[in-house]
Amino acid sequence: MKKSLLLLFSLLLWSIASCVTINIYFPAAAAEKAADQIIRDIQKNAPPQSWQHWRSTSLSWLNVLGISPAYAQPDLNLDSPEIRTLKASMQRRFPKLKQYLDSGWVGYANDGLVALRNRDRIPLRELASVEQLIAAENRDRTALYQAIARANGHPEWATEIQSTFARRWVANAESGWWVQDSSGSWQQK
Amino acid sequence: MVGKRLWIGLASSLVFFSAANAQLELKLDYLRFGPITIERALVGLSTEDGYYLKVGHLNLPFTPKIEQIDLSCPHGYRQRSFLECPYGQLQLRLPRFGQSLSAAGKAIIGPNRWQLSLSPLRFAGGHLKLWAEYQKERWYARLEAIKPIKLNWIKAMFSGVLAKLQGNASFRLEAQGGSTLDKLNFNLTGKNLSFHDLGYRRVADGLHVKLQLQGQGQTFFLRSEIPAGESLYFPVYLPFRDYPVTLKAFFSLAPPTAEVLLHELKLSQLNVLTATARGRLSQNSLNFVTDFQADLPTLFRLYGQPFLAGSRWEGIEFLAGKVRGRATISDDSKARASVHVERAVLSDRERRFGLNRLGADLVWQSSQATYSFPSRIHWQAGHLYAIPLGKTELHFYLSGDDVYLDAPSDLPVLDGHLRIEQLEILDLITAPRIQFSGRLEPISLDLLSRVLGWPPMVGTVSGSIPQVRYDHRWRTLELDGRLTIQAFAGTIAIEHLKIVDLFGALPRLYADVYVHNVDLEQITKRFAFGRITGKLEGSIDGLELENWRPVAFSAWFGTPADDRSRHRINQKAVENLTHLGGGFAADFLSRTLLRVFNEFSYARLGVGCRLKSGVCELAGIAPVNGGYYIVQGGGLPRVDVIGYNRRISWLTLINRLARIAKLKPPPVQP
Repeated sequence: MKKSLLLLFSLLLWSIASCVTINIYFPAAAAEKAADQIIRDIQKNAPPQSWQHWRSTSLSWLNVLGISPAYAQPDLNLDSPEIRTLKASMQRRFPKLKQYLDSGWVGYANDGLVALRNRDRIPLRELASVEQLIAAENRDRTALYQAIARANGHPEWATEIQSTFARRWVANAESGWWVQDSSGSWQQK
Repeated sequence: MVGKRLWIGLASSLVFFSAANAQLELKLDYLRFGPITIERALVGLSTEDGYYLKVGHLNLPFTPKIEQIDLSCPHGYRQRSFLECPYGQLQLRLPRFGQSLSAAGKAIIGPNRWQLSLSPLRFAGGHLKLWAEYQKERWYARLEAIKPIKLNWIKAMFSGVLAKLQGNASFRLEAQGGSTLDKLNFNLTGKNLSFHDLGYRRVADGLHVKLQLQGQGQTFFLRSEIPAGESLYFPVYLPFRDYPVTLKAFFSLAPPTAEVLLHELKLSQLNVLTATARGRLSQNSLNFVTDFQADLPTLFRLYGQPFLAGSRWEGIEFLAGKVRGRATISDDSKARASVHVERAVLSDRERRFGLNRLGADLVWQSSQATYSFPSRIHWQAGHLYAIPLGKTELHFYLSGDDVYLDAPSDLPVLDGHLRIEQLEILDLITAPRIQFSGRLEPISLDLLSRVLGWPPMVGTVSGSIPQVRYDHRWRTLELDGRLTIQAFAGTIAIEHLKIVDLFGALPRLYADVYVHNVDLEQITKRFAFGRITGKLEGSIDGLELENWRPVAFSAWFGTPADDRSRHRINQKAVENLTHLGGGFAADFLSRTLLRVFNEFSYARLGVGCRLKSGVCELAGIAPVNGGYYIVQGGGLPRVDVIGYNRRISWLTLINRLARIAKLKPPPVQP
C-alpha cells in the first residue's frame, strides 16, 4: 500500500515536473527592425503641419479615401491605433525637434529618450519651449514603448523595447547630432 | 546689572589687570548670555594706547555668525562722560557669506548722545559710507554705496534655492525717528542681475532694477522699475527691454491690527497691460479690488501661449483685441471678476478654427456665490476647419470652473445653422466635460462639399442632436441621435458618431452610415463614371476613419428590393464597373455587343466591401460560376457584370476609382 502511494506520488511529481514550459523570448531582431521602421517614419516622413492636406487642391477628393500607409508589417506588431496616434504626434513634432537636434541643444540620450544639452548656451527666450518639447516628446516615447509591448501581448517587454529603441535612435541619428553612449558621455555623430 | 554681567564674565574667563601705563585688559574664553555667545574675546583700555576689542567668535540673535572682530581705536580717549574715538578701525568676517568687512571712521559715545561715521566701509567689493547719530531721544542714519557692492554673497541666504546669483547694487538709505520710524528714504539700483534656481525654473539674466521707497510715519510710497534684462518664470519668458515693468504703490501700515492699507497700486507693463488696485490686507482677511486693461495679443503671447507650448493648442493666438476688467476679492473670500473683450481676432496657426471680431462680457465668480451674473460672447464670423461660421451671440453663466448656456442660440453654418438648445461645460480649466444638445437646420450640401473640397453634391444636411458629450479625459466626442443628409433624392443617415482625439495628432472617427433610396442617375452624372438609373440603398457599418481616412468598415450598396424605378446602365458605366473589378469583357461576343448597344437593362446591382488591414473583401448580389454578380441583367438588351476578385487592396481600388471618376466641375451659382 505504502509502495503504491509512493509510486503515485512519484508519478504526480514527475507529471508536474514534466509540464511543458514555453518560454517566449524577447524578439530582439524583430524589435530592432520595428524600431528602425518607426524611427525612419518619424525622421523622414514628417506630415504637413496643417490639416489642410486633406482638402488640398493638388489631391483629388479620392485621396480622402486613401488608407493610412501603416500596413507594411515587420515581425513585431505595430498596428494599433495607440501606436499610430503616438507616431503621428511624434512626426508632427519632429521638424521642431530637428532644429534643436541640429543646434546641439537636444540630444538622443542612452535611455531611448531625448535630453537637454548645453543649457547655458540656449537663449533664455527658447529655454522653456525646448524643455516643453522635450517633456512632450519623452511622454510620447515612453507611451510608445509601452504601447508596442501591449500590442504584442507582452506589457513586460516595455523596458527591453525602450532599450532597443535607445540603440536604434542613436544609430539612426543624423551626422552632427549629439548622442549619449552607454557610459553617459555625449558624443557628436 | 553691570555687576551681574561682570559676574557671568568672571565665571567663565580669565581677567588680567596691569598697573603699568594704567592699562586694563579683559580676556574672555567663552561667555554665554541668553542667545548671545562670545568666544575668545579680548577687551583693552589704556590711557595712552586707546581702546581695542577683539572677538574670535560672536553669535547674536537674528544675525549671521561674526568672526575675527577687530575693533581698535589707538587714539581713543575719555572726556567727561564721553568716550571718543577720532580715528578707529574695524574689521570682521562673516563666514556664512564668505565676506569680510573693513571700515575706518570715528565715533563719540555718551550717555544721551552718540555719533558714528564710517568711511570708507568696504564690503563685497563695494565702498560704503555710514553716518549715524543719536541726540535728545532722536536718531538719524544714512548709509550709501559710493561704489556698488557685488551681490553674489546673497546666494548663501538661499543656498537650497539659488544655484547662481550675480550682479551689483548701489543704494542710499536715509532714516530718522525717535521711538518709532519717522522718515525713510531708500533708493536702490541693481544692475546686471543674473540668477537661476537649481532646476532652471526661475531664471534672470542682465536685469536692471530700480527701487525707491519713501516713508513718512506709517505711510509709504514705493516705486519699482525693471527697464532691462530678461527673465524666465517657467514657462513665462519676459524680455523687459521690450516690455519694461513699473510698479507704484502707496500704502500705510496699521501696527495694532498688523493691517496693510493699500491706497493705490499701479502696475504697468509697456505695450502689454496696466492694472490698478486698492484694498486692505491683514493676517486673516483680504479685501482687494483691481482694474486692468491690456492688449490682448501681447498679453496672450506673453502669459497664455507659454502654457500651451508642446500641446496641440500651441498655435492659438490673438491677432487683435483689447481686454479690460475688474477683479474683486471680498472679506468672505468670495472672488468675482468681470472681463470685457472687444474687437478680438482669435486664430490658430494650423487653421483648425478662428473667430473674427470676437467680443465678450464675462462675469466670473467663485463657486460659493449664491447668485450668478450673465455673461455673453459674440463674434462676427469664424470658421471650423474649412466650414465658415456666421455671426453668433451666446448668453451663458460662469460659475467656478463651469459654464451653463442661458438661452438657446443659433450658430449660422453656411446657409443653415446649428441650433444650440443646451450647452454645459464642467471643469472648463482642468478637464472639460461638455454636454450639448440641439439640431442642425438644413445646410446646403453643394456649399459644404465645395468648402471641404469634396465632390460636388446636391442636397442638404440636417439632423436632430439629442446629446453630444465630450470628455477631455478620454478626448472623446460622442453623438447620440442621427444626422440626416438629404442628397441625391434620397437620405443618408449617420448614427453612433464618435470622434476620439478630435484636435489631436491622429483623430479617429467611428460611425454607422445608412443610405436610403438615393437616385443613381444623380450620383453618376456628377462624375464621369457613365450613367446608371435606378435607386440605391445600403449601409456602412462600423466605419472607422483614422486621420479622416478609412481603416475599417463593412459596406453594402445595392438596388432596393422594392425598387420599381427604371433600371438602365450605359456602356461607359459597364466598362468602368468591369474595370473597377479588374476585369474585362473576355469573349468576342461580349465585346461586340458592348459596342453595339449604348445602354442596357439590369434587374439589380449591388456590391459590398469589408475593409480590414488595408484589404477589401468584395461581395456581390448573388454567386455565379465561381464569381458574383455586381450587375445582374434583366430585360433587353441585358448585361451581367460578374466579379471574380474576392480580395483587393484598398489602395488599388481607390486608385482605379480615381482614374475612372474624373470630376466634373461644380455648377456655377448664379
